[in-house]
Amino acid sequence: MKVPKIEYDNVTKIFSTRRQKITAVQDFSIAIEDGQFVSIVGPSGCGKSTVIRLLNGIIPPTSGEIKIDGVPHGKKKLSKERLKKMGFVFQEPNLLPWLTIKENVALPLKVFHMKESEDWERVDELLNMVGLYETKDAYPTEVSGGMTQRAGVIRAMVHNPEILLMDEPFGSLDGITQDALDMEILKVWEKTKKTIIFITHNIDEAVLLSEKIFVMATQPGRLISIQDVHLPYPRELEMKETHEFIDFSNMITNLLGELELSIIK
Amino acid sequence: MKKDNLDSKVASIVAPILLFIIIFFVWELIVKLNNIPAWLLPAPTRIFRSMVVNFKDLWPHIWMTFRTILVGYLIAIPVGILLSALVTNFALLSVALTPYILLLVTTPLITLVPLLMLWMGFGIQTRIVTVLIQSFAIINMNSATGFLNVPHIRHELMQTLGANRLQKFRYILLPSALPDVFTGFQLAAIFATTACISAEYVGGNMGLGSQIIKYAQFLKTTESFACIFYVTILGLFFYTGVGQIKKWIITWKI
Repeated sequence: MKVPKIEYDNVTKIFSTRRQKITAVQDFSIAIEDGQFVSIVGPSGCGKSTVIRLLNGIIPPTSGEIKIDGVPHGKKKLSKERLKKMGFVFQEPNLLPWLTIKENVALPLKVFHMKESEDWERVDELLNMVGLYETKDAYPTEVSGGMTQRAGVIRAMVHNPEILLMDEPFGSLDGITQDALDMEILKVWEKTKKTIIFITHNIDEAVLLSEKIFVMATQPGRLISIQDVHLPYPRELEMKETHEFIDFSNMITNLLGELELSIIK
Repeated sequence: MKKDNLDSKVASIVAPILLFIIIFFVWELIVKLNNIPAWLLPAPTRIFRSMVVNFKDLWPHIWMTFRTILVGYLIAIPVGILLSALVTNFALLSVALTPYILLLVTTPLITLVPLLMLWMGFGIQTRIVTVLIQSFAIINMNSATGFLNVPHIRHELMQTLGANRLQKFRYILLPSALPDVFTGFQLAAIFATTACISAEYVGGNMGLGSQIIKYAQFLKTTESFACIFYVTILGLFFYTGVGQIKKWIITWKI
């Protein structure tokens, strides 16, 4: 059998504060194939961000095991080699204000000590791909929110990772820009076939983008359902209007809705 | 819009100068109208004249004070930054050192000067150490604030890239903290001047502080004031100098 690209094996994360213990993620087990585009949806506080933070080693799991290419993370801090396989897109652009757009995008190359010219050529390639080449020498405060988030996305790709982790990357943008960036990320995926884990609370966005959706619920944060999306690629924005899309989206909304209601009862 | 900017820029230079003239004019008027004797309160024109006439005599003292402040301050900068970087990066060091730094800051420096003189004599090194103690602590405290206030999300960015301590310091900590670090530099510039004059008050016969005391004892208030004005000029020089360097280095908006 093929080894999954990413595997979560009974992963639990408990945040302990002085007053209480919060179970952010409980007994979380999933497998993601190489080159898959998956989304994780759920209400705020369901631990969906925690899931990718655990994978990227920003926080260690309380118990359970996470594997990439069948190799477990282990107890130590993640090695640079392992981190290089992943690119992380933050909720905010998280650019450094004292660096230009281009310098920001190139930052991972510096930290990872990547000196090959082909790596540095990728900086301009990526800037071109998302239409930032003209503004590459501007500072983040001088360009629009959509542009800074584009820069945030390609910064995560500049070291050519196999896996892209995206933590509600377009959640704070206006609807039109969000649609535009959704389509861009689809194009990037179709071209590069990176494995993408996309976190969002927007169910339509998850349906539009991904092959598979992991639905999570809160208190404690846990997986409640795995849904395959049977829409053909390439996906287009117009698909959002089709019955198939709307029905599927409603089905997931209801999954979450019923659960919310049962908590209130 | 452009014109407004220009106007406000001109105003920011003209307004203080105008106020300066008004204050000294009123002062002059009060002294002249009330026939206040010079030993009690000299007229500004007298002080300015004294600043020019006595410049040759005062120059060695101005130069001495300038040197003392500059040397003490220049040593304080690396010491202060290094210490704050260590303290904010290593929890154990922070726990161990912070109470002593606090102790040093809260103890009025003037109380330490006689002891320093006892140990090191009346020479320039004692005064330099005084300036150093005062400035490094202020630089250290402000820099530490800067290092600790780096947004958490930037730390996470460095974590996702597996940055080591040095890379973290270079790529996010230092540039994020620079505005606070420079605030520390500016405050320290003021305090360094104060510390230097305090040390010169206590002992020795070099530096503007010693001259202020000397002239005051002989009721040569005009000369005393001339020295005070030179101290003010020195303080302003250091403060605005650091401010200008800050503007050159920190070109980005936060």
